[in-house]
Amino acid sequence: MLSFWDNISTTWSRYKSFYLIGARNTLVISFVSTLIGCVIGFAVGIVQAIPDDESARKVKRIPLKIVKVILRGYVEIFRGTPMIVQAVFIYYGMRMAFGIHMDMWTAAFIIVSINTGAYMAETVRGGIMSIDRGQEEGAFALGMTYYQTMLYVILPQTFRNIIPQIGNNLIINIKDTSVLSVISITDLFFVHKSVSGSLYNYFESATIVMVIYLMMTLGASWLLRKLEKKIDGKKHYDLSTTDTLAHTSGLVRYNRSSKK
Amino acid sequence: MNQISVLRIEQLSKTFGTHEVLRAVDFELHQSDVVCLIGSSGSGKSTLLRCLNFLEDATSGTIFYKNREVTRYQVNLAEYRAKVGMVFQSFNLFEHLNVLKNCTLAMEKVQKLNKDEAAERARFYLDKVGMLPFIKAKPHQLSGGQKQRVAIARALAMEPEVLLFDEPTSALDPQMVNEVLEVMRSLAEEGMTMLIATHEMMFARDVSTRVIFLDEGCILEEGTPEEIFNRPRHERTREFLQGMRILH
Ligand SMILES: Nc1ncnc2c1ncn2[C@@H]1O[C@H](COP(=O)(O)OP(=O)(O)OP(=O)(O)O)[C@@H](O)[C@H]1O
Ligand SMILES: [Mg+2]
Repeated sequence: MLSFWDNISTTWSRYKSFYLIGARNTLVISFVSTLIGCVIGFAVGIVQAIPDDESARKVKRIPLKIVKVILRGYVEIFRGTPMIVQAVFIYYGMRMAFGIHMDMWTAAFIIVSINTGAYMAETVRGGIMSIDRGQEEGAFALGMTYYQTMLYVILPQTFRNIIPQIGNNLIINIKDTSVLSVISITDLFFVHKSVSGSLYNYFESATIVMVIYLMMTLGASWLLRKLEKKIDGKKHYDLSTTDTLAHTSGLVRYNRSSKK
Repeated sequence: MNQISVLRIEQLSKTFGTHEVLRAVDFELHQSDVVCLIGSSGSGKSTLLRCLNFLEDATSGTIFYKNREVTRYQVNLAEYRAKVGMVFQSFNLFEHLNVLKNCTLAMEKVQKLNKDEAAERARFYLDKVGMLPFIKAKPHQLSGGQKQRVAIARALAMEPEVLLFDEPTSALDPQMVNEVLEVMRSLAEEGMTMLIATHEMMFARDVSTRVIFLDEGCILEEGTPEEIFNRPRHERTREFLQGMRILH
């Protein structure tokens, strides 16, 4: 047992910089791609949520329906196939079929982003649908347009509600970037494979890598919790007694004679 | 009485599928009128108000605002809606915004007021409904009566010509009903034009200049509170009022 810990410590001290570079690459790809994926997801989800019944005469209905079908296809294809296959398909396929030589980093960002986008699109659409219709009607009744209502009323609430899902996607991405080693991205898992392949210390290296992955995912969920708390604001509100006097009794002064 | 026409509807009908909810309704609302819409559940009160605000599209019929015809697809629908405010049974406050921002959002986005002007106006109306101290609270931190008073202030802040109320007190606990009715009563005294769907018969009797009894999508009877509550002409009106324990 002692030699196990010794081996870990030797492996770590010898390959520390490689593990750290791998971890950094994993983090960069997953954070950036989750961010881009969210943007894609919001864009697609918002379009999918535009009503295409009679009430929507303004946006031409036929083009809208065509766009929706295309977006639906995108979502189904990328949700429905493994990312590892998509990676091979896009990176090598583009090269073989079209002679497009894509930088492997570009390919990595594209693959993870559009994958996340496909999942997020459904999350966002669901999130928009789950906002009470009264919110929309309250805004309409005040004269706000569909666009304004979406932007200032529905989407902020949707965003708040789907933060846990965004967190889920981020964590999944941190782990799943490991499949990108098929296109030789030097992520954390790639480093593990290289180190253990040359030293035959699979167990030790795997232990190190597990700990690093766990630290990264724990960090990610902590960060998203902070974001949630920040958006929710204070649990209590302060009565603004600077405006008027003595409202703290809880009794409401109603000014009948206020001028109009 | 002042006779400037604010809202007039002609032959307004609404069907959902095959269900005729409103049948050729005609009426006119003059400035400073306080008209209460009464009628049993499902008689079409909410639908009528929603059609007036274009939350629902009437199947046929015409709506006139200050003698000018209004349709959904004209450019100034937003302006019209700002002038014809609506207060809902379920408040419909924006859950993610505090009381002040609930009031200022539409002023800034629809009426293009700058932040300070909007805030100042919001404070004035929040003060009117006794909610000024709560400007930092989020809707979920307020009681039902407080929420409804904020919703009224939010509608008032658009400086509308007429306010539509759809059962503003039906979702409230009994002890909160009065604080909202008090606010509405004083708006009536100030001469605000209001159309109120309500089950609060005592309030309707006290405050309204006219009462409309809606029955299965038709205006069956219309008159002063005195006429409707004391001398209803139709059997259906009498039955309804007896059900509400107004008439014995
Ligand atoms: N979106 C809709 N689709 C189909 N039917 C509807 C719809 N909205 C309302 N209705 C029907 O229209 C009728 C009138 O409803 P409305 O809500 O206007 O009644 P109300 O007088 O406001 O009743 P209450 O006092 O219960 O609020 C009801 O029978 C209702 O089922
Ligand atoms: Mg109703």
